[in-house]
Amino acid sequence: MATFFRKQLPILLAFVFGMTMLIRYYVPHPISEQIYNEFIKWVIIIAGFAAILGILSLLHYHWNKIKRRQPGYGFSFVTYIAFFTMLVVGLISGSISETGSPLEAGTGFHWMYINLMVPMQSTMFAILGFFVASAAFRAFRARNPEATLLLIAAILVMLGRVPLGEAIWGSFPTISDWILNVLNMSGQRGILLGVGLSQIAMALRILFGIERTYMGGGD
Amino acid sequence: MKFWKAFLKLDRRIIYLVVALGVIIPLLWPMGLPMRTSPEVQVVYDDIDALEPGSRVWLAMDYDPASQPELQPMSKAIMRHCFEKNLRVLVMTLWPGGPNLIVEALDSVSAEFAAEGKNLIEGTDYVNLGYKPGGVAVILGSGQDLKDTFPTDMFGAATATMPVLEDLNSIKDLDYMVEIAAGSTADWWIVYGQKNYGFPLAIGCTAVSASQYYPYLNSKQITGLLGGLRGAAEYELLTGRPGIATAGMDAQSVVHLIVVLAIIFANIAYIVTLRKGGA
Amino acid sequence: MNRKALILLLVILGFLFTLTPLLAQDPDAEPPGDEQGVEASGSEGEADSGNEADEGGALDETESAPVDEIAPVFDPSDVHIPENIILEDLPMDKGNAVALSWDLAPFDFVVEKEGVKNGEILHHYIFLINGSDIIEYSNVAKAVKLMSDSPQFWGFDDNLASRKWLLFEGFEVNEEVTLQIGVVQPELEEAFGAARDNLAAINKLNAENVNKHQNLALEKMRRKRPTKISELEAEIAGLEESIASLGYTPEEAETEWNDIKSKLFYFPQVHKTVTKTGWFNPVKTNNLIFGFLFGAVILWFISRARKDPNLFIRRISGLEAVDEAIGRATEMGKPILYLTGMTTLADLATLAAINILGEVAKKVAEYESGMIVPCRDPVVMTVNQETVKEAYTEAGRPDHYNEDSVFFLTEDQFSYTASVSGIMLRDKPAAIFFMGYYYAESLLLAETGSMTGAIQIAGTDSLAQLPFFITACDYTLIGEELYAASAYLSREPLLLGSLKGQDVGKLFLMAVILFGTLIVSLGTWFNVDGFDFIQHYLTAL
Repeated sequence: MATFFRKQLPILLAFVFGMTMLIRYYVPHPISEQIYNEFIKWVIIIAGFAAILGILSLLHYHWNKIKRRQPGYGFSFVTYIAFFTMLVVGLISGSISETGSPLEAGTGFHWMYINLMVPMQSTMFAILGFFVASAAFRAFRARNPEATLLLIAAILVMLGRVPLGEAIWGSFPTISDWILNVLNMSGQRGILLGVGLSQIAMALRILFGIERTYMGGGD
Repeated sequence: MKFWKAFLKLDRRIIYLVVALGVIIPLLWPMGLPMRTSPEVQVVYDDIDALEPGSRVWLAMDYDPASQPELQPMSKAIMRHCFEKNLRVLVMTLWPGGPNLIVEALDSVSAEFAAEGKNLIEGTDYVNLGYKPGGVAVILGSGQDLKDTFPTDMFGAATATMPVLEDLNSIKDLDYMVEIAAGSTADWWIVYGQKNYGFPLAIGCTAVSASQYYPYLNSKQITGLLGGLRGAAEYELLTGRPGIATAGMDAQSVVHLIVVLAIIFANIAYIVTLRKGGA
Repeated sequence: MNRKALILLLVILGFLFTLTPLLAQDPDAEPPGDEQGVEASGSEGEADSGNEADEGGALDETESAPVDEIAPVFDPSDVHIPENIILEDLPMDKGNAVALSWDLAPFDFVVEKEGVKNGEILHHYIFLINGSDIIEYSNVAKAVKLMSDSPQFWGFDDNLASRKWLLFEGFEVNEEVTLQIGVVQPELEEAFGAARDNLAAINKLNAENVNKHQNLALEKMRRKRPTKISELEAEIAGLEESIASLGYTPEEAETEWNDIKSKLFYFPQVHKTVTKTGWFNPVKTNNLIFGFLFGAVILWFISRARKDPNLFIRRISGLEAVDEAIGRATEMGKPILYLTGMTTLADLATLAAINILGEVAKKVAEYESGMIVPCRDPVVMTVNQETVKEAYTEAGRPDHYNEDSVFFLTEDQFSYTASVSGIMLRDKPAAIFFMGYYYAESLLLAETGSMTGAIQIAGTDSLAQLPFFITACDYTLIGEELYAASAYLSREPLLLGSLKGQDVGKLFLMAVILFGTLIVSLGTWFNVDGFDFIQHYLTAL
């Protein structure tokens, strides 16, 4: 019985629901749409409950870190403080704001969003610019003919995409467009087709219960 | 020789410093380099420009503060163009971090127009439909019944009787859609939105993801593509309202040049040290 | 001789007889259309029904048209009416729409590539739907597409590019829909426009008014924004003032509109159809066939793999390195860090990443090294926990499983990135796996990882991020290699079998692409249109 609930039942459910959604794709009847809408509601509800699990997991992880005084447990305190500050301010903002939404301009939550979240997140993203430069410097080497071609293509595209490149030589943009539209696109299409086929194959393996690694593998 | 060896072991932080200077200096002292318009941006501008007054443009701002510096100028440029042409704009986001950015963009653009003596009315000229959780489900829902999917706008005003949504029951009836995306939402709008409901769709995305959408451009699943700050800058220039994106292009130019030089010099160093090492 | 004269007489009579229908008719008119065409497309015989709905039929009925009194100025024979009109159920829908199509005429609107509109407003065409609703063609012209623009409904056919179509929605399933085409007489155009605009104006103001009242009611209920309430009240007052200043009531506008509607000229043909829905969308047939064939090939290879488990699969160096990476982690006494991507379970890349996680976790359990799996999605986290736990059990080390090793961080993209970067810098994992789908954070993660000196193995089908991983990681699984990885690692013959099936599918697609390219190129070089249908068929695939 235990194996039924652990193995057979999930596979059976995966098969039934997977097939329903697959068949639905070919059926234009209103019933097909109703089924789909119903499924989507379930997905949203399940995701809602999973969010609670996620938050509990986060708090539990950091609580254990603090309890066991693991290295860097001070950061766990920071996590707790940040989490509850944002939560409390959000709740208060929601209850005192005029629309009942904590997102309204002028609330504490909105202030924290604009003045903490926005700059912090933008900073994270902006680090990308620095990392691109250092990664290019460190790893882009003409080690073999393929790498050399990649290198030349990268330089041409980078120069072709900015006004300075145009100012240096008027044909950079044309070359860059050609690389993007012809070479890049055909390569991407090849990968995309391979990925598409792999995805269909994997979907079939999961539907028919052949692939069970996601349930911890084995039989 | 020693120099090249040392150069190869250059501290990352020096590169970071050079990049930082490459961004800051052109922002403080702009060079104002001329810019060419790429065909994939021009087509978006032409399409929107050809719409009749009152046509409805759906603007999905699917990003959050992280990619805001790159994508917000793009959204604003599109909004300005639409309002200038008296088109009606419907804005929404599939990203939980997005609603405040919509508010910011709509507020600042409508303030610009108010300063020019054109008052834009919420609910008549535009609507902010806010954030809706559910991803693909929202796209499909908007195709089935738009007002059922968005019963209210972001601030709780009923959409059923809103003039801007008059006679619009599905995204199928849109005149145009621009999806500004930082993540996979662009693929969703192409696969689940455009494919199912057939509205004309243009994509705006971060520069790092732009190369990913060329196949869709070529297969005509999307009409045009605005890639990164460059795309935004070109659009700003087309609308005749240069803004923050145009200003940022000089910085981007310089940083690209720095990266190119870094690659070239690193490779010279690599080859020189390799030869000497082998000899 | 007499016989000859008789034959001659008969021939002359016969000739005259063939002319009789013409003599009986208005000499200016063309032969009348087939009655079926006038009745237009019902559920049967849609294909040919519209062909005869021509001007001739319209002219016959001029006298019986409901606009006798203004006929002297208006001559319906001057009207350019679209030809080959067909009203039919919109195929492949849920049964709430019908489509009207006609041959593209020189005066029709065509939106050219450059965004320039051709065409002219010769008449204000109108559509009378189910005897009451009027839709103007000249105003909706911009929304009119060619049938070839919507292959999801009409498939691919050469003549679709010369047919325009309009969609009418909002019907019930199995509802009979009638449509009559009409024209606004030039002398009525001004009155028609005024009546229409008056009605639209008052309706718009009324709608705005209703909307504002609703919002006001909501605000009053919430009792939080007194300023907004007074604002709304002021707006309502303004709206009511504008409604009053129009100088007519909605009822008057309605009467004026109905009055003008009854004076317009309608061609007598009534096009009819019944809305239908169905259980299969025929446009997706080739998709289904390909799906079936591909599925069959894969299942066949899997069944073959059952009999002969020694299938060859090429070496994937990134996966060969998995053992090395875990071994190194064990030696150094450091954990391995495993990420399953930024997307949810709905994305197959995440499932592929989880499959690999199962195999990796088994090895980690065998080597008794540590594991960190930070997650971005709570559902993915739950599945990851189960996967790792099961893997430990299967490796015979259930006691080594630490439930804190798989945990949730945040759904926010860059907060997650910052958090994982922090873990990398603090815990200095010996090996890092980036599997699944990634966005702009790919290089942030991979570059931070490379600073810590870890062995890095990435696997993604995110095309835009591949270059970053290739640059910053030691090994990268490109696209489909990510999906092949769990088969490769587990060496499970059934999974390996499906990889073989995939190769056959790929071979087929390559052949199709090659064939298609050849056909299109030949068609272009030799200027032969006959290849088009093959091209269209391939596009549909």
